[in-house]
Amino acid sequence: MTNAEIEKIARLMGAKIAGELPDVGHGATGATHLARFYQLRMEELRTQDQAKGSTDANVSATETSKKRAGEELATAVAEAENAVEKLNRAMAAAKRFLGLLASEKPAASGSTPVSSGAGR
Amino acid sequence: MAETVPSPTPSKVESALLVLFLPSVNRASEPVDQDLWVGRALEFLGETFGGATAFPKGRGVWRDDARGGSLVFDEPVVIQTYTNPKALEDHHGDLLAFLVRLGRETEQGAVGFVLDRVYMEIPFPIEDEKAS
Repeated sequence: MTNAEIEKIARLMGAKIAGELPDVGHGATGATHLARFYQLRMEELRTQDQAKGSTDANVSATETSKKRAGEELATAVAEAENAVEKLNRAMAAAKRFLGLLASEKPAASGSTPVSSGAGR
Repeated sequence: MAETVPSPTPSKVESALLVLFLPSVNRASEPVDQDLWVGRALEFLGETFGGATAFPKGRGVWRDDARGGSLVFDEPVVIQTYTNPKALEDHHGDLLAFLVRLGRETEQGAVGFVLDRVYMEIPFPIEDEKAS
């Protein structure tokens, strides 16, 4: 077959031409050499597959890490919101208490102010 | 002196060598049903191109010194068939369908074949398997 004919078949089949082999002859001897070439080629492809799988695993680990960081951040925000809510409730209670104290002041008139600063 | 016996004329002369490889393992190095696929390939090539010869794996032939003498993990059966450019062009669709089926069902990274001395591949990226 001519190169043009081979290239045409490759194009028709959507096959990738990986290389030209040395003339190893036909029959059993040729088949043995071709098998060896095939083994080496498949080994090369599997190594590429494994390297790609390893890269995918790294990407996956990064994504997992990002997801975990996001979850931790969300938990921290929720805890902060709870803390703020508790603080607001405490502040409201304190204000009510101060209001009660202020409303009781007139009844205690005549007594010495607690913190007047007098005498200094 | 004995008469010269006329040599028989071949019934057909083919000018192209097509070689298929039937893998023994998938892309994860797990064994596949190689015998089944050798049978299917011979049947396909016999029907489509008129015949084929399978050369079974020679166990122990390929001690791999570069890998510390360990056995290589794929021991393909090589199938050769003689054909011609027109038959290849006429049946390229059938050949492609067979090779794609081989690649998908035996979970290969690629299926290789040889036309004369040119090695070709039909790749099966990992994404293909995820999509299917």
